Amino acid sequence: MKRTFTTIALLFFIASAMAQKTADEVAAKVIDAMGGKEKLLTIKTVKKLGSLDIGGQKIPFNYYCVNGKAERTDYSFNGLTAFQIVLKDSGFNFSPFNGMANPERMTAEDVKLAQDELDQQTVLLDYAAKGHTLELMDPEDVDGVDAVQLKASLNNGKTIFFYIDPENYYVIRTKVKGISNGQEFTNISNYYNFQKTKEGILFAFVIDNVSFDTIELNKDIDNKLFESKK
Amino acid sequence: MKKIFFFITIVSLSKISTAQVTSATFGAMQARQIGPAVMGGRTTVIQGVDNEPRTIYIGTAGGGVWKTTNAGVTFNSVFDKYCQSIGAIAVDQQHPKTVYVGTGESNMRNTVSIGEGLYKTTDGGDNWSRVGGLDSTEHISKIIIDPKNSNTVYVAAPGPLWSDSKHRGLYKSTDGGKTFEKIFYINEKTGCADIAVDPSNTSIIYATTWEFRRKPYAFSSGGTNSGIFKSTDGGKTWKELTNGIPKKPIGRTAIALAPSEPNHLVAIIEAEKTGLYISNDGGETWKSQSSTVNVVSRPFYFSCLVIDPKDSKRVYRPGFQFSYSDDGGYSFADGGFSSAGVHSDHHALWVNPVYTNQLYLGTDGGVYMSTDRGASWIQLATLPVSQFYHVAFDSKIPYNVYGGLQDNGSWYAPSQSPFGIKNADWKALYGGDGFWVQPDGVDDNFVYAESQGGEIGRIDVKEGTSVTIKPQQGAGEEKLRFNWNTPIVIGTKNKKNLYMGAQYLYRSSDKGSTWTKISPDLTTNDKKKQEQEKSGGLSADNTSAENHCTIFTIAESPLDDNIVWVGTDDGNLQYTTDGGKTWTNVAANYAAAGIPAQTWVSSIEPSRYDKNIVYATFENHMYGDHRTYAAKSTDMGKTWKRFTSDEFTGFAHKIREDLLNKDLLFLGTEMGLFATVDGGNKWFRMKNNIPWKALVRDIQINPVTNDLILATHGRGIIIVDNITAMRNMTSDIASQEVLIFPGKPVNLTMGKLQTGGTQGDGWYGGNTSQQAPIQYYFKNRLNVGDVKVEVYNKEGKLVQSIPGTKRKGINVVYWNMRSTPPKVANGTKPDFSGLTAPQVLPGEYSIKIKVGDKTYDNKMQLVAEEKPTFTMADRKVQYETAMKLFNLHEQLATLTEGITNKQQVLKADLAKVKSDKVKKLIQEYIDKLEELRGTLVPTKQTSFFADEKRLREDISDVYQALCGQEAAPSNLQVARVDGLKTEVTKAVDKDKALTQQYAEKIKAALVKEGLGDNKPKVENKANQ
Repeated sequence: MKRTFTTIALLFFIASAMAQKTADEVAAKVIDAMGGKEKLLTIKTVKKLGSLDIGGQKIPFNYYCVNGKAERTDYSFNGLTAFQIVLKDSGFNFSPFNGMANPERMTAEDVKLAQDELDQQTVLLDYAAKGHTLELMDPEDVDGVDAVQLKASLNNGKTIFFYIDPENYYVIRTKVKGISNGQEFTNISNYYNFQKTKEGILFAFVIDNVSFDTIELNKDIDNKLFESKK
Repeated sequence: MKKIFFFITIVSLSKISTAQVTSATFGAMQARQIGPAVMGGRTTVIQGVDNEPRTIYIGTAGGGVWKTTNAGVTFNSVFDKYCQSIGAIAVDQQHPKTVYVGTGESNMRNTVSIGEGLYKTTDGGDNWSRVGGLDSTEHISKIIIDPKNSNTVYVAAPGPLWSDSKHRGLYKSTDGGKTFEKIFYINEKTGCADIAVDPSNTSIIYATTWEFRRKPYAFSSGGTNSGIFKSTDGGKTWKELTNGIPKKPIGRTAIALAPSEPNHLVAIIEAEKTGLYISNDGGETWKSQSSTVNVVSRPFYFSCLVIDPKDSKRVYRPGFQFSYSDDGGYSFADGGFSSAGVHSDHHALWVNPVYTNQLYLGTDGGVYMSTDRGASWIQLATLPVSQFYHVAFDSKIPYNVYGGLQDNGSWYAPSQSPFGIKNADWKALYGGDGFWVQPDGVDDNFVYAESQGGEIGRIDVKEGTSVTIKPQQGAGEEKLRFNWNTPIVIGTKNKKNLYMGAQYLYRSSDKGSTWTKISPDLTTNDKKKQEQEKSGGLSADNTSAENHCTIFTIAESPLDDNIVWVGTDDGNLQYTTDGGKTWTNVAANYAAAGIPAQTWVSSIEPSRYDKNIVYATFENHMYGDHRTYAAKSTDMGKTWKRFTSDEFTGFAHKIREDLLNKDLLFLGTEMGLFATVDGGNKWFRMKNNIPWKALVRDIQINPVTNDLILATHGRGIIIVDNITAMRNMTSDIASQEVLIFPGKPVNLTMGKLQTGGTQGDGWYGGNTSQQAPIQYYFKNRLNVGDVKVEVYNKEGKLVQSIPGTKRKGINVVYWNMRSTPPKVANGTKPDFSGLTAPQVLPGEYSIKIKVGDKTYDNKMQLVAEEKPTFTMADRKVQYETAMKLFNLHEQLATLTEGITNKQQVLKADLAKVKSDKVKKLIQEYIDKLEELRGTLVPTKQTSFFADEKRLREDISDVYQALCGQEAAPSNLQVARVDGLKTEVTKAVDKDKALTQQYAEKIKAALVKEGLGDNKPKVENKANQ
């Protein structure tokens, strides 16, 4: 019996290792499709300028990130700008469209849940060292594509399901799940119009109804953008 | 085929390979699940997470698994890809994201569905895998995970209902569900009905066995192999518990163990004298105690018995009603809440182990929650798991859908409703179990509905009255035999014809006031299959569910009302070509096509293209055969060709031929909806927001809207809006890289049927978009390059640019039939006129679909209904008036932008000048400009709730009203535009005057200080 258990345990270990290897292989292919590890590691800042379409009106929509330190997402309408800033240890929301007179602090829980967004080199890169785990799941239909599904359980408690086009290993959809304020949330984003920057790094220039005109890497970003001032 | 090609613009002929038409081909054609949730559907199991009891999983009879993480405020379906019939759920309380689902309900009524085995998730329902090799058990009644060892899992499988099988008994896994060993098995007729595991010593297991069998015409519960057994070694050995147990034969036994006092057991044992039995010594001895009506009712159907996790004396018996005991089961009191609106027929109960006053109850009518141990209840009316048998529609706009539900009567609702279809939109029509509901073919104010066994009524919807019109036995005739699900059919060719079938076919042309029997007995009239009064086994159960040798389906030819087809539950397939004078039985012929002889005929579809063509579905599951049988005859049933496909799952309920394309067919089965675009050569499963294995019982196609309407037995009514694209699709067409579909004329409308409802009113089923659809097809998802859809008016002016979707298959982009909104002046508060545009006028618009660097042209016709309340002249005035306001907004935006720009320049100058006099002059100009700006837009923002009504807001008041109304502007609205124009002009003039007053002086002063030049620094377009 003992031998049987040992054999079963060994087989289980091998099976697990094979499954893990497969998840690693998929992650590696995604990283290659994005431009490769070396190039991804050169990302210091990301600046995306674009617009959000609402009924034909183009609403300026911008994203700034200093890798690992700070990110800001903002959009402007009618001369007013709403933003969300996430730093390592704090975060702020400001939406004049919802009646805010001043920026308001994000909860510690939400700040923690947003930390992975500061990783512009992708959470898949050196994921284990970052404290994440990966698991290869069954394929899932995404826009008619039989997408490879990779599940990343992040160190901040969030789970990201990556849906990957097997033809080119582009991440065409993510489903993010987590718990905030005691409630489970799910955010789904779809990615299109993939282009490489001049540095050779792949980005989706369209995310749902947001379209980016420019994506620039490693440009200086004014620190004032990350101050909680309206 | 030529015709279809003619209607499609093939913009790329670079055919690479023939593409298979699949569900993905129709990508963006997402179905609408319109509910209802108001009357729920049969709920079979409820299991929560002990240490996070807001997370609860609900298993249903035909609607899959639903999960709430907020104690039932909202639910999400988490099992849409798999079998929808759920028998058991178990949460691994040590790892609560690990959940097992046993498919195949075990409330063994006549319409119970079939399972496909055991599924497991380790991520709270995001992903599931079929595990354990229990795929053939068909019915799973309980799963228990060892509370001390997550790898040990027990599965109780009563097993197949309709046939002998080895796939039943008690199974055990010791590797977390990967593999199972059958640890307790009696024989091929006897399965495991229930289990209980002692949480203090998990080697102690109690199991009940059950000998049972259904036939199409009878049910038997009970036998000498049923009993209660105990193992004290984790299932290795078993002994039967007999001391105090009633003598055999016995039937189904439900057993429950008190978690707080594991030696205390209660069991409801179906026997000659069914009752509740109590053991206080771990099952060694039993005493008969209570036998209240609720305790003993229908043990085969009500098998739920629960003891409070903390209080061993508190015993719940959800059954026909809800009973509870406070003395460990010695006595029971009925909840008596039926009159308070809680649906009868209870199958599941979960007691929140943290707060044991909180109960969740699963019934035939949905899920209820109590916070006072069952004294009062609230329905969680957000679960759209209603179980329809059939669906029909009327000719109204929007059309209504009608249908009958398992144990929930007959209902109707609009297919669209302001802000979406809500629970409140559903109206009850008739009682009992509901089945066929038919609006009268000529007068929509009358509807025919029924309860089980052919209890038909004619309902006057306007008056809210009904008349019983059931055909009666004639002198010298045999007793009439009506099926549980008796067909009521309106003629397809002659809409005045109302048909109803017993063993004879009846027809009425006066709304059921007068019936004519137009056939002899069309069934086999096998007397051995007509002994329903003996049905039930130990507990007599004869509710018309087992009625047999009856007519089950009726179809009048769409081409000739003298041709009527009839199918019976005992396998006869008969037709008349002379209105019922003579009949021909072709039952012997379909068997030659590989369909078992005398198989239940579930639907017949005479073709609308050729009198000799007929389609039929057959189902043999009541003899243990779950294969899909659908066939076509082209010679009036002489010969048949069976449709086959690897895609098929589930026994067949309904086949439907499309109204315009003879090669487009739909097939509904117990496990999915299938379609073919080539006359049945290749079939594909329809998905796109249709649960992949939905129990599709009926299919209709609305000839006006071209909607496909599904009756599902567990997911309510599902509508696939406008299937025109399916009619136009072939594998050749699908092989094109890009296709543009011409749109049909679109009605200009605004706000009539808005979306935006929420689950606040229970389930919310969305509307069809009222916007103008622009359809195109991509062979593959577009990963590189963007898609823009641009709309131009007849003058060639760009009206709006819309981001295009890029999925594989058909994409649908909706144009809101408005222009791009105006630029609106900036202020310290938002003005949402910047997101609002006037609706355009009727006419032809050019559509340019830009895919990467290629452009594809199309046209769109917008049409407007001429109404007395909104004539074409009114529409033009409305549009022109709105556009005047649009222009005023843009003019004001330019003016304020100019002012702000000037102020910025002046402030920069102010910082540089040295002369106090010049400083004062500049500041004065800045202040005057600010004073002017302060009259145009809000500039203070003291509070979000403090209005600052300025000229911008005045314009918006009228502008937004006009943009949102389908009516001519009032005289005062028109006059107001002139007033506002004057105000804007005055503001422009004021700005000009200020420029004249200050600009030159400041410029000269700056030059004098060596700061300026002679060029004007700020231009204001509004001044030009």
